[in-house]
Amino acid sequence: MKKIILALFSLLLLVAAAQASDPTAVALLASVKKKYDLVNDYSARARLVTNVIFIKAPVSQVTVYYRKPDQLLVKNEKGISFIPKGTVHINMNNVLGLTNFEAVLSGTETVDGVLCTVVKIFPLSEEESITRATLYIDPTQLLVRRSVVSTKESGTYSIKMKYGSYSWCGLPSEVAMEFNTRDYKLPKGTTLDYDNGTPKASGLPQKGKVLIQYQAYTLNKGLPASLFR
Amino acid sequence: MMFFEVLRIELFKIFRRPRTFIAFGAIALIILLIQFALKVNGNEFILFFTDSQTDTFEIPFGGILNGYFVCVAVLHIILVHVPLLVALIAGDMIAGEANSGTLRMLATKSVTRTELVLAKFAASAVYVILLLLWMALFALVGSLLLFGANDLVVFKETDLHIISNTDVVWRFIAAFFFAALALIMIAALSVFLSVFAENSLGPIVATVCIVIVFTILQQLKVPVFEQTINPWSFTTHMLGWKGFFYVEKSADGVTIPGSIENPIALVKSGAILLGYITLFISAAVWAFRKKDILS
Amino acid sequence: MTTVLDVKGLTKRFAELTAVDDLSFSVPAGSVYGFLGQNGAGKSTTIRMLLTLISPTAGEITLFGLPLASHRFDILSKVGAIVEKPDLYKYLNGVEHLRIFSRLSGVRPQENKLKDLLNMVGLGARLTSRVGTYSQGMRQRLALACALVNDPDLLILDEPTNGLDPQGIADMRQLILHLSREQGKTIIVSSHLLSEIEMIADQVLIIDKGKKLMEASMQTILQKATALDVQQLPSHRYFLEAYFLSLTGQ
Repeated sequence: MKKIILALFSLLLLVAAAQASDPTAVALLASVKKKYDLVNDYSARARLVTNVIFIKAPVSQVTVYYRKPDQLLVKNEKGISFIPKGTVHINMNNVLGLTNFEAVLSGTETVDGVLCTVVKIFPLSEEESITRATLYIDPTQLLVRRSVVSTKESGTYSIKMKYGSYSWCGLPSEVAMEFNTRDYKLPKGTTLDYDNGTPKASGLPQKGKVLIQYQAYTLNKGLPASLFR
Repeated sequence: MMFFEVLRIELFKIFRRPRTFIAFGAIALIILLIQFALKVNGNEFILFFTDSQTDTFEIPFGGILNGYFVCVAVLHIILVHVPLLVALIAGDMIAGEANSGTLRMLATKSVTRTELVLAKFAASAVYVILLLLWMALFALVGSLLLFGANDLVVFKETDLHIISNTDVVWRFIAAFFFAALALIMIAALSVFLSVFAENSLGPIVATVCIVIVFTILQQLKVPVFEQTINPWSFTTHMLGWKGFFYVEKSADGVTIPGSIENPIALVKSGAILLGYITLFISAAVWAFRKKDILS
Repeated sequence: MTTVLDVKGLTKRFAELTAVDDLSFSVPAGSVYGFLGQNGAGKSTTIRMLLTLISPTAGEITLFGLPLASHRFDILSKVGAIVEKPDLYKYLNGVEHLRIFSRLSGVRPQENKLKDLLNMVGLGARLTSRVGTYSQGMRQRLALACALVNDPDLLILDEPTNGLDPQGIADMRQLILHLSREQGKTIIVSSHLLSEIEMIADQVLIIDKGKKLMEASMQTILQKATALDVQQLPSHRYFLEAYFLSLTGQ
């Protein structure tokens, strides 16, 4: 009996040890955050490409607005775009800005030809919308190349970043985001569709993709809070 | 050739009758009512189509509710309501004259029965075109003035299409042309039925009933009907105007500007409607030439 | 004497009913030709066949020396007709009617000629009133004007005095005689007013149950009528009426 209790206690300690933040991971995250904190706000012209099975949309010209620490808005000024709610998570400060969390290193992985350190983050506060996040960090340039963010309400988002001339402050030149979608199906007869013989879109794996290609950034000029309401 | 003379006379008679203007008034009223309803309840209307996606996407309600969207909503009334208005005039063309006794006055003149039927049908077609122009004025121009312009979102049963602002107007023009073809086919059906009746109520009611029955068959999506009746039913192809708002997308998921999803289907639908027009009018001419005018 | 209308073996069957049975007659040019028969005798059916409203089951119709079946356009441009009760467009006025029917006949008379025509039939004061406001007699007059608008060589008038008052009947009689005697038009008149026919007709055709009973000049008929025992027909003032009734077995 004593042996069993001892074994169980050891297992618990091991788990606890594994769960506790890895100082290396925390230090890496701090270095990356320092770089990303160079930007207080930005507005950027960008191309938005939507690739969702049930949405046929043209390439849109959008404006991305960001205000530290966690306000991000993608706006189509002249047209219509169905912006996934998870685009707020293309802002890395959503994850890097967490204060009450645990982080562990989880090996390495190559992302777009760059060897990245994998850091898993577990927010400890129940009030956080993020339940877990995995960052794939380029340790030499201190850039997040990929992130996988799970949220309470909006599902999981997988985001890949490419960097160009704004890599010095962590701003990407291209963001590719993948997310779960719900089936889109309206009751029969409500839309009186014209049957042109095209196969219907439903019944296939429901993952959506958006691609944001940044064309020009305007940094740290000040943006009003009212813009994000 | 008396055809054009008879056509002029028929158009004169159509537009001298007060009942003709009921249709124009009715269309204007229906459109204004729809515009008012959408102005007041537009977001709820859009929510009906987007409810399943509100957790995943930011729905741009304000942008979606624009003049082009409202115009497409208005054009839906074409299928059920405007055929009645078309039948009111076209169904009266021969049966109404038989009932009032004026048919025998026309038929004793030096105009052939073929010319008479063709001219009456052509006058109905002109009436349809004018009705649609009137509709375009209220539905498109009026909606743009009330709601402004933006990209057009078209909701289908299993997907939605977003068409850029700059790629929309030609589609509406094409859609109106196709709708004219569809309604001219209704006029042809009404004229055909009118040949066999001595009272215009019969052809008018029969036309509307036929449209309603075939629309129900088409929307029920019963497999046996989908394989046999629906591919040839004119109500299936009357919806072809909507096909101009279905865009093709490339492999990377982006719509191709200026494209139409499966344009061959539209050509086929147009050809079928033309075929029905030819069939109904040929049959009307044949029957009218043989008919003893006893009224 | 030339013939305007030649009918040979004209027959019309509707299912089991033979409305017109092997009817043959000729109408001389410039004459007033009375066409008589009881209700249901086949008069209207015959008139409708002459005007191509109904197609014959058998027989031939020749108008102005041309077969009707193959020369319809040429023939009907020279014919004007009132068939039964004249039905007109209630929402149009008199001038508009004449304009329409003249164009349907292939002619485009001047506006003042249309007004003259309306004056001639006694509608000068109601040129621009809608037909919906006309009395039955006024519609009859307008129908006659519509029949005359293309200056036809042959007029076919089915009950032309319907709805007319005594003065109107007298005016119609004078007009028919004027059109025939002064303008040389050939006029076929079908009427129940045998007294009127007696006054204006040169030739008469009497049919019964679709068959010809009698075709003769008015002179011949009057001679035959005077030979009847008038004592047996005290209520009849007119010989034509008496003869008609004797022929049809009444």
